[in-house]
Amino acid sequence: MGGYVGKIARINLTTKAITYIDTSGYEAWGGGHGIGSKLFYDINVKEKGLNLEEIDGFHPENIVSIMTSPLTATGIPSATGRIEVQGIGVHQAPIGWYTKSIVGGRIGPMLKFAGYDGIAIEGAASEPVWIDIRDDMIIIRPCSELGLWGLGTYDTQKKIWEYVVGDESYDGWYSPDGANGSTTQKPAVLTMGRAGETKCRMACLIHDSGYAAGAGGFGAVWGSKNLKAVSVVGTGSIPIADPAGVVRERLANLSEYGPKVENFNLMERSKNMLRHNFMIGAGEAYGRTPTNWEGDSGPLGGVRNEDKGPASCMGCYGGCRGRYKNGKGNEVRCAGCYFYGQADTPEIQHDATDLINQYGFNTFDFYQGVPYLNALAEKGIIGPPGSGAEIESELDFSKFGTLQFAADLLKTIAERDTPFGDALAEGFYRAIERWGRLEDIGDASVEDMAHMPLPYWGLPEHHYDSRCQLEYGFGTILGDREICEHLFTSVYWDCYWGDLIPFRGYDATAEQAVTLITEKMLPHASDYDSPEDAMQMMNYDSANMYSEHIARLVSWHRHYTRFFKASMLYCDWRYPDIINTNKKDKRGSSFTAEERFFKVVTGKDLSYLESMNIGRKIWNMDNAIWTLQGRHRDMVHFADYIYKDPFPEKWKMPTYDPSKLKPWVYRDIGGRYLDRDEFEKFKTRFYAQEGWDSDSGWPTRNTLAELEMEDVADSLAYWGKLGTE
Amino acid sequence: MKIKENTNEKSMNAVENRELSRRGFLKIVGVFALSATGAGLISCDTDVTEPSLNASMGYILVDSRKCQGCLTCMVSCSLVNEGCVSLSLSRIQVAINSFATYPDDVRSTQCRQCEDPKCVSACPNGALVVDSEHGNIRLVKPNLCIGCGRCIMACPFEPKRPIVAPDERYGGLLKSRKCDLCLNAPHHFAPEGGGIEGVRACEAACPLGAIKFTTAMPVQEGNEGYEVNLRGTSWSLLGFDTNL
Repeated sequence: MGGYVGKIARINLTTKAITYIDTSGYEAWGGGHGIGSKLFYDINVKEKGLNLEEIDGFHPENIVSIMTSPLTATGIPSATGRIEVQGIGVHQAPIGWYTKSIVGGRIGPMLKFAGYDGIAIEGAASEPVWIDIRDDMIIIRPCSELGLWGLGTYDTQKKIWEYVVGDESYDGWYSPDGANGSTTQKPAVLTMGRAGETKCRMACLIHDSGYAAGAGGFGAVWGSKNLKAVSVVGTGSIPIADPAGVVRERLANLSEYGPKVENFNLMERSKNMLRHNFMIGAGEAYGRTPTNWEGDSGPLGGVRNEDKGPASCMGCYGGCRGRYKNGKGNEVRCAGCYFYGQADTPEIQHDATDLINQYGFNTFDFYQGVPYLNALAEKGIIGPPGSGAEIESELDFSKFGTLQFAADLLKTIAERDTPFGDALAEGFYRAIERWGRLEDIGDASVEDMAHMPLPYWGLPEHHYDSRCQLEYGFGTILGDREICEHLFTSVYWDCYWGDLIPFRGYDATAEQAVTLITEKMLPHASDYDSPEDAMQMMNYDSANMYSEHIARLVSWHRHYTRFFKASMLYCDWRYPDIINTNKKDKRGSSFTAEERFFKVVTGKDLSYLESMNIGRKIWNMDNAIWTLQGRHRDMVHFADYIYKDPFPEKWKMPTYDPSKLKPWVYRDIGGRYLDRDEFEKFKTRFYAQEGWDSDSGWPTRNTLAELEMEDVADSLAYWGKLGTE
Repeated sequence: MKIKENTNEKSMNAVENRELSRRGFLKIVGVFALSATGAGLISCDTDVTEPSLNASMGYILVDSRKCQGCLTCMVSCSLVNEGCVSLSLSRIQVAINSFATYPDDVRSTQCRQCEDPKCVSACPNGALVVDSEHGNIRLVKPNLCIGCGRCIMACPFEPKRPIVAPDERYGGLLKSRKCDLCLNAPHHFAPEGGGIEGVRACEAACPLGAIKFTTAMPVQEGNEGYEVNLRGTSWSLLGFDTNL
């Protein structure tokens, strides 16, 4: 089949053995996370028979895979440059679930050019090592050779580049020793920084300057394996079923549905929020740089036009990143900019952004964590050693806002050289728990910043609160991580910008948005009596928020993202294309576009419904792994504040009131909180919708058999974890 | 450019030393195994006339300051010309340095269709020609190419614009490739095909309009004629540099 390159490298850091797995046996799982989950199950559960309750993310048997998709590197728009990293995480609490994290850039394509659909890393090295991949050649090298251990993520990459290329500049062709041919491309390196070396649970993996696999704490997982970096350079090629078709489909899609760079105008920058998928820059995305969120530096963080150019993942229609004349914050965007918004100047924040990426921390924890710490200090709860403060810290909070403070904070966490730093190295949730301040978990406000919203699994809220953005919060607590999947949040943003910007209006009325989205949500709408009934899946009203309809919405979202985003690796910012303001009827290209893209690359037909079914399989596999890790429905609940504190902001989403002439309107649903009992009933409805045991949340044999996963049912039965029908 | 100097030197040695092993030869001239499947033979039915030095009637211009480094031009080039995706077989090359400062972070380099094409004059077998039937495009006749690599050595630019690699369409023999403005692209996506009056894949595929075709010969000295400002008003509205 086109798109795949045929093999997955299995690298054992304990034994140094490198073996190869034929990808063809895994193509039924798509790619990316689908293959990664199947591989994790096959090796750890079936092959090794491990009890997953006894294995945490730091255990050597934890397999971390880095997987591409058949679309990776092919030029399919916004599905070319991404990879999925998966394994047991260490970031969540109370248990580090089997989880995943996506990263863009060019390392996925480079893996395929080297001849691998992915790599699976197991074991732990006896000394710090890095993996050097050059086409067919894979060598596990000691870090001591290049002095990599102890280096930041940027310096690590530069050292490896210099080692592999032999020349720090970029200009000409070179033939890496061991490779089959030549290239002008730098090796693509995925690495952890000092935070990973000391196993900080917030440690991430960094690629190039600003691409990160932030979630899960995979930097710490690599630290436990003594694995500093994976470097890949590939000079080979990728078979494509219909090469002309790939270019044709790309151009046709861009022409009909995509952004028009040459005709861009200011109003257009604020439009198309409902598409996200073709949000070329949309100003804030394209031009975003580390921004001072205090608002005194302007929307572009004080960076002038003449100071920056564009940057993107490989194959993107319109990159959402930039590179800068000062070289600070290159390629960083969105959550990557969310560190130290309280810096005294934008320039300090730029420097701090580079610093946190050099250490290899997941920035999002710090977005709300830094002001929380400062608020504790202002209240005297954090104070110098000997001061009698409840929490002692050597940090000088009088320097808050300076670069020195940011540097001191990051250093003490990464080095774990003080009790304060050591506590935070365990992540904010565990630190707060250690400090005996769990009551601080909740909504922060201007009046009282000494709170940190950690609504699910001890992870920071991602702006999309569980009390209002239902599919986001529910999908997270029913899964493994803060989902970071923005499809339905774009409806919120359309309302937000529509209300904020004079004369902009909404990209689509509430009824239009709900109609178009529901149309695209087959098959979960196909058994409704009428399209009007199916639209209830998009009714975010309080009266509907625990309903069967919302259970279907969440279910669709879980299956959709498991396949298209996590496994085909379509960019979350650009897919699906459901509502498109470039079209008169506003109907986007999904999901016929995805079907056509898959066809021209692989030569195979894979319908949208078949794709969704693979997504359901992957979702079931993941739940089986969580079940084997010890999950039970009783553990699936939010932090207490979600059940008692009203969401303190405005939040407009579609709601339905049949008594009104216009029943569908965008309405502010802020100010509400979840009812604990009603949410428990929702879980029961959701588990039933999935065909899982409503008492335990565990997969059942019938459901697994329907998905041709009888072996998984056998494994669950063996460990006494198979759900009852 | 230590590496390239070595490459050139070794390439010359390789050409001269027919006893050199095939593996060694492949490594030295910087070529690579082509593993794509399903690629048919290159069409060689272009009516190519005897070489002349008439100026090309078409040129590719780039704007590296507008380039986002998505490499779509490279992907598209290899798709239409090779039937697979390969950055190493792309006639246009874009190099990115994530850690560099703008505008030194990206450099896009394309075949210049030189007024005085050194690659053409260096070819010992008449395989590199000026195609007078198609606007004097400088191109390779693969059936005549012996894969000696002299075109690479003659190219005065870095990175070298011609590529020599095994070609499955010729039984794995070494064959030179260079940009022919997609004239003979066997997997072209457009009904009108490529060439001066057709569609160039890199230009069409660039989502930002950072590649442009022109019939006017650029200034040959230096890089200014080929590296141009393709950013307009909308580029400024997007929040980017529009300066030269």
